[in-house]
Amino acid sequence: MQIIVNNVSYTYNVNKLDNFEALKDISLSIEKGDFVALVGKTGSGKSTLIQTFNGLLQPTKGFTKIDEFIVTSDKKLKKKIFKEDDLIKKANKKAFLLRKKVGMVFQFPEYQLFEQTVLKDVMFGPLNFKVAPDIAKQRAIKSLNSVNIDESYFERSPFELSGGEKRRVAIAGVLASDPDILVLDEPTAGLDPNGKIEIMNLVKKIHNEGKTIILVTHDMDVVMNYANKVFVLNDSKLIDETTPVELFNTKDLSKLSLEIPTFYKVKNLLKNKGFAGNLEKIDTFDQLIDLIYEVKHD
Amino acid sequence: MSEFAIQVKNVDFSYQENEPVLNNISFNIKKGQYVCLIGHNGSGKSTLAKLLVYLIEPMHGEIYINDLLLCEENTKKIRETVGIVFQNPDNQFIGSTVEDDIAFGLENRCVAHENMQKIVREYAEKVDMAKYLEKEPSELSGGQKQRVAIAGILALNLDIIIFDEATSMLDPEGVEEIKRLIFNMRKANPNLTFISITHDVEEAYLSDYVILLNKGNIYKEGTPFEVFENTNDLAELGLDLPFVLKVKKALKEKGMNIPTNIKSIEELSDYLCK
Repeated sequence: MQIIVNNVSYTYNVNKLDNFEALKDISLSIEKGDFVALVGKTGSGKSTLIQTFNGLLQPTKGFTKIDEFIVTSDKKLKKKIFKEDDLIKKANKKAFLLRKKVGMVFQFPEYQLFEQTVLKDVMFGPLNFKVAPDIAKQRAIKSLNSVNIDESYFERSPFELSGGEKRRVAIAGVLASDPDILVLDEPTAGLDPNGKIEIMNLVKKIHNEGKTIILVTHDMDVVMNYANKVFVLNDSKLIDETTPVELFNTKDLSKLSLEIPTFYKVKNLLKNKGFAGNLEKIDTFDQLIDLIYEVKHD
Repeated sequence: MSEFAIQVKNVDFSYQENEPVLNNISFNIKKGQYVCLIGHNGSGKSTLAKLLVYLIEPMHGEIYINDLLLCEENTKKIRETVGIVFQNPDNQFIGSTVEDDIAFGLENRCVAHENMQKIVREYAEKVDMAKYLEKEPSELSGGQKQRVAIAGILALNLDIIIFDEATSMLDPEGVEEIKRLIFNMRKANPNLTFISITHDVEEAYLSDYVILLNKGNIYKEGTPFEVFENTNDLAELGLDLPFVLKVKKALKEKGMNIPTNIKSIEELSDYLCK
């Protein structure tokens, strides 16, 4: 397992009157090469959980383990783990390297662009990890190429680009540090359908290169078309671990405050209204059309 | 008074010389309609919205809001008529707390204090933010800030409201809540004109009127039927087809016709189960 979340709880403002438990006793694991979707309504704890993956937040109780890195604010627990495993202890002396291992693309990452040129912005990450300037430049160029940002853009100000382009530059900035795990928070929000497909194809390509993808999203079409594993959070708890097909076919999504993809809405409506064909094994649009034609044409 | 809430006449706009963002745009929006402005990223939708609320001025052409020409002298009246909620809530959170932020527009209109408190509370409740009145923006999520921005505009009781992807950070349940809220407000005030800038073709398919922008031009406008049923190149314009239309087109290719009056997925499934 690449990521293990072990009985993790997280409380904001511990010891204060307005403390809030955003994660309650969550345990899950993610394998190398997984394409995971984290779903659940606003405030369910998704964003809090992903921030424990690169140590931006440290679990109040329990721990998150990413390869050999341990993230927790429970010092006793940490000590105990280190005592049991010397390798882990050693690795965690350089805990900052966790940030290199886990790349985070936050919501609307284009708002975080800040440098004078596109190239400089993408180089910022590697330079921050003390990579030599010429190598940082090479890596930046490589990751800009992989997000299809053409050389003519390198010396332009990132603020002159369109929304979709800015987002791709921001993702390149994360890729330039060559993370093993890429975490994306709502990568398709605010994009038009073409922009959406562009970004998701890019994420798919990164996944095919062997990286683990963790996606926070409200977009069930994205879940349906890309993820292989789904975790459902509700009220700070993990309430389900499933696959997209199982999620949309068998679960009561309205109870989970998730939007059913239109395809499955129609499938359910037809089922409930007594459609004269067998909908059981219908999981793609083309299958549905074939079935309707078969049943209804005269 | 004409029947139009908005009249746009031959409007040009560009941010930089020789790079026109909007090209000789003209259209009218009738009072009380739910209008969707759609088009790919960069087609000029948001620029058009900014023109309509007089944040920027057209290079050429004229815009009339309730028959009133948009110009410097009319600014105050315009602000009392039309309001906008933008996509990024961080750029529009002005108050130090949720309560202050919702009250901001009301204060500008010199609403009496007791009255104001009542209105703020009422609209905070409508967008489900009443529990957070004392909170600062830094303690809120993106979606919560969007709810606050929406409450701030709705509280002003305007004739024309523009949402520029104002619910992009909400979860689907939140989006539905806001849609219901707008629906109820339009029912209570049939003169309320609502303009939604959106990528959601399902929403557009069920609206009163659709304006489709492409590269700074109006590519097509009309009822959803006119815009969607007769446009074969929606994908190239950066748009999805509404689901029902996708089904209709796929079946038509096989030689099976679904009646044109079927628009929603409910109607479609009723028809198919007959």
